[in-house]
Amino acid sequence: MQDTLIEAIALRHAYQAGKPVLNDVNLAIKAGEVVAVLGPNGTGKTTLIHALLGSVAAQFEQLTLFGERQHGQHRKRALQRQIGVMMQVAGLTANLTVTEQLTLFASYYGTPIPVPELLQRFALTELATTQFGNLSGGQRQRLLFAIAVCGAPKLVFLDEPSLGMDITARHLMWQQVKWLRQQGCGVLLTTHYLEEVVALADRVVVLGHGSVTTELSMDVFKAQAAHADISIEQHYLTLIGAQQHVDDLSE
Amino acid sequence: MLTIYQNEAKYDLLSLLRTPGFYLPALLFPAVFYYFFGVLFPYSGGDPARVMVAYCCFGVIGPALFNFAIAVAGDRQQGWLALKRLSPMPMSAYMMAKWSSSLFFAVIILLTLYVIGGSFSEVTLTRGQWLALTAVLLLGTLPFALLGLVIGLFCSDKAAPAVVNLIYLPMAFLAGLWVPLSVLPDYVQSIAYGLPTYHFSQLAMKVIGQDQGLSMGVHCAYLVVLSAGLAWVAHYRFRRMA
Repeated sequence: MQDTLIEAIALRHAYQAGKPVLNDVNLAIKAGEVVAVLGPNGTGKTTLIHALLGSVAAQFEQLTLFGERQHGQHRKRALQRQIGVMMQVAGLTANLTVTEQLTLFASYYGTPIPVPELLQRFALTELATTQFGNLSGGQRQRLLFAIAVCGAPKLVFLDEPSLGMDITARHLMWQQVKWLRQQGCGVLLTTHYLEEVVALADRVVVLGHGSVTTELSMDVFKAQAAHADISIEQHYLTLIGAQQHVDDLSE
Repeated sequence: MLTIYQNEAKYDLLSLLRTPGFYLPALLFPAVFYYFFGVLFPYSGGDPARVMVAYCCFGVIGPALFNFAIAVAGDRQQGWLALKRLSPMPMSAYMMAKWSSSLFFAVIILLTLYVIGGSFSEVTLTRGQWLALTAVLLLGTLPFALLGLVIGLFCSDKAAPAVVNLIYLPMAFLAGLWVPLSVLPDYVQSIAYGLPTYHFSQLAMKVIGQDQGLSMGVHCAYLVVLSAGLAWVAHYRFRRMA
């Protein structure tokens, strides 16, 4: 039986009164499970991560993290130590090297993954002495991913992790996500790359206007597409109600 | 937990030491300013020790204000601060690191100004006065660090340096750090009473017996209340930040 790492019931958040970004979202992630949260830009995927982690003041009927009921925004440090986060916009101090960044972040955790292992695992060994400001976009993403997992977390949030990565780096990232799953880590992944979803996800959650419009296992998602004799991409566009719009544009 | 504080402080300082654009002006500006206008052409007049202490006040405020305002604004804008807040690092470690870096540069500035004052301006203080002066000047940077933090939490990384300059230089002048308040118009003196630079400098002047005579309690109370207020604003802003 898989343990539930995080479970949110009726999660709500609005940056402005009367304009909810999240509207009664229910979500659970189990150990060893990769959940892909999909949806067009602006549907609340990043806000969902912030709400779960307590960096925005969201309301909820119930939020459980590693079996502990959460109240308000505060998350205990002992719980934070079991979570890894890679956000979309995270820049790092430009003039610290890759090794220094990893050493600094690893020191926040009780039993971190050794820095040499992180360098090797994320193909950063040759860049160990390169300052963050001199890294390419894809290399920065790799470092940010390494930082997200440096504390050997049980639950990882990856917000569009492969943005700006070349194909090799993306496949390396996929390997690491699969490795995390093998370790029993739960992963919440937001992405716009459907091949990534097919390669990694066990379950798909589609957000539309802040609400969960579809929740399917990956097998059912693929079977539905196969049954309708359409591609995964077309199936996804149908789910978010954009297929007609794409057809109109094509014509 | 101590390792987190040590590493934060170590890497914050390392990052600043790799940024000549920060430390060169921070270190050179007070020294050059003091040498020219306090030693070579001391038109503002006054006791050499008073002039040196005034420039020391001016010098140590700079790193506290700039390091906090510009670094925090940059970290916030890049998302680095958001990532740190989501990590198990206590935010106090981040703050302490920034303040300890500011103190590192403040110590260098003070030593430089002491050497200039002692060598070229015949400033003579007792050992106790030198030590007390250093302690007051270093501790007194706290409200300015908090002011920098608030600026960094509200301003963009492009606006923060301009805002700091906009308040730093007028606050220094109006508190009588370059020209003694006694030679300035009365209304400037009344403005000075409302400025943290005035109360900070008066505490430092008290060490050398050159203050205007207000009690130490008044200056300390002003700076403590201001620090508490700024800390509350920073805390509120942190809570509201997504």
